[in-house]
Amino acid sequence: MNKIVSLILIFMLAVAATAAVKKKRFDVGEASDAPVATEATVESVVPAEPAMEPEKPVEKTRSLYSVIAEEQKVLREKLTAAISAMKSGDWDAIWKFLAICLVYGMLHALGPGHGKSIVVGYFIARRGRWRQGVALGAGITVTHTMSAVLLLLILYAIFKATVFAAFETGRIGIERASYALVMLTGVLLVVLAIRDVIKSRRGCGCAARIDSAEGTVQDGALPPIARWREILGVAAVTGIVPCPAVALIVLFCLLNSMVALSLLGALVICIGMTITNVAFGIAAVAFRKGIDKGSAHTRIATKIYTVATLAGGVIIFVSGLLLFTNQYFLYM
Amino acid sequence: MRSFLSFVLFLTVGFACMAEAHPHVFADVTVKAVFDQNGFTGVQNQWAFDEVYSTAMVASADADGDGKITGKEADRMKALVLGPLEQNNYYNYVQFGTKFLRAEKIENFSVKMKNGKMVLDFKVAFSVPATSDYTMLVVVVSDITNYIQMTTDMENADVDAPDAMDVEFFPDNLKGLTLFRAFMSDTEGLFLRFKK
Repeated sequence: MNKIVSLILIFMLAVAATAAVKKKRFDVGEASDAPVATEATVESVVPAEPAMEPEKPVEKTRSLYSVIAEEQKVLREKLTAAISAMKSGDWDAIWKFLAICLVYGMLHALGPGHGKSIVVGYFIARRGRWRQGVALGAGITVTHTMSAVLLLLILYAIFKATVFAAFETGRIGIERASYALVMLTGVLLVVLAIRDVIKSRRGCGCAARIDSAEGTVQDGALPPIARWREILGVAAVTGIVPCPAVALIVLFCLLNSMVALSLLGALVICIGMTITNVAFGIAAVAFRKGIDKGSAHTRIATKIYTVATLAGGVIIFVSGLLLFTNQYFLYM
Repeated sequence: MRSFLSFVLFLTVGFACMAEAHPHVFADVTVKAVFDQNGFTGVQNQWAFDEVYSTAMVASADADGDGKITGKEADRMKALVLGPLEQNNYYNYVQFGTKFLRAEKIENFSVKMKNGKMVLDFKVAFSVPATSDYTMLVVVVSDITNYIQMTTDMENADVDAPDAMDVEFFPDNLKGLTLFRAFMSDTEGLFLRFKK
């Protein structure tokens, strides 16, 4: 009996040794576009081991982006669990639901593509008041979330449960228009900066009046403060893209016959996202105030203002371009 | 002035780069490289979507409202989920030499529900013949646009090959592979080499 077992074991080992598929590390040559379809690396391959070779420990690092994305995934799972609990009659879960919505909103807005670049770019280009920083951050977010709720509810009334495919089609169209307008906003800011430079060189004093003796900016002669209609325009153009994350959660509640909860959830996610975007708005205004204060009495003050305005315009243009090309790449 | 300009340039590039897409859908992905007696034939994918997205998509495709996706409903689901991804190679990137292989078609598509999550099974067909010398490939399944956050379990990636095919594989990061420079830095790939 022992001999039979031994024979079987030997046979199994022999089969393993000649196994056609092996999980083993091999040399991929120089790290470039290395995995070429050649035999070049064959000579450098470590002699084959009979069976599964222990993997070389790989040091894994996660980017901040991945950490934020992973946390959102966890929160989404907790969110669905809370909704299911409420559907089963456990209404104590509503507090958990609301808390998750708030944190989810804050984290979601922390990811790329929620207008933070636009807010920062705008307030580098234009001098702003604190309340304008708050207004732009909040305006973009409220438009972004509420446009999602509105579009979803309209389409839900038409398509019922099959709404999401239609929502995606509508969203893609709005995205393209929005990102093109964001690029245009950036171009306009750059044009304004160039116009101010030309006018100041002609001596009309439109941008910043320069003390002819010292070459410094006089008190009260800083570039003009951003206009409210500009703030509203930028918020509308940037935020009009409906947020698919909010739409999906609203739809999930609707499909579970929880209409009021869907709206409440959307509102709290909106508040969470607003907190993040407003923080960026305030930081951007503070940054621009710092530039103004630090450079007001220097000889190169007007140059600094011009560079800041140009940089802000370029930030907004490049942001729109990246979003547009990313979206274009996805769906074309 | 120069240092100020450098600082502004840094800020410009930094903030502009924040304007990328971000995940709205989450999927856990497993992959298996598939071979036949002639060579590499494709990548078997299993995508398990998050419950929120699953519910929305099932509601869109479930014509009879029985909560299951069967028959023509599966075709509808395939068109809804994978149709828009055709141009992006169904997010299956296979490096062969210095290029990505073009996906030929989708095979064996099926949908099932598991704990409220929609699970798609399908094979993305490729074709790379085996020779007597090693041929090397790198397989990555990832959404480069970041709309779907794909958590691909490369550590447990597998290979299905006949005995006549000699295949070696291991998972690793994509550091140094310039063809994958646009992917997230922590994306992992499945490194394969095979010969007859």
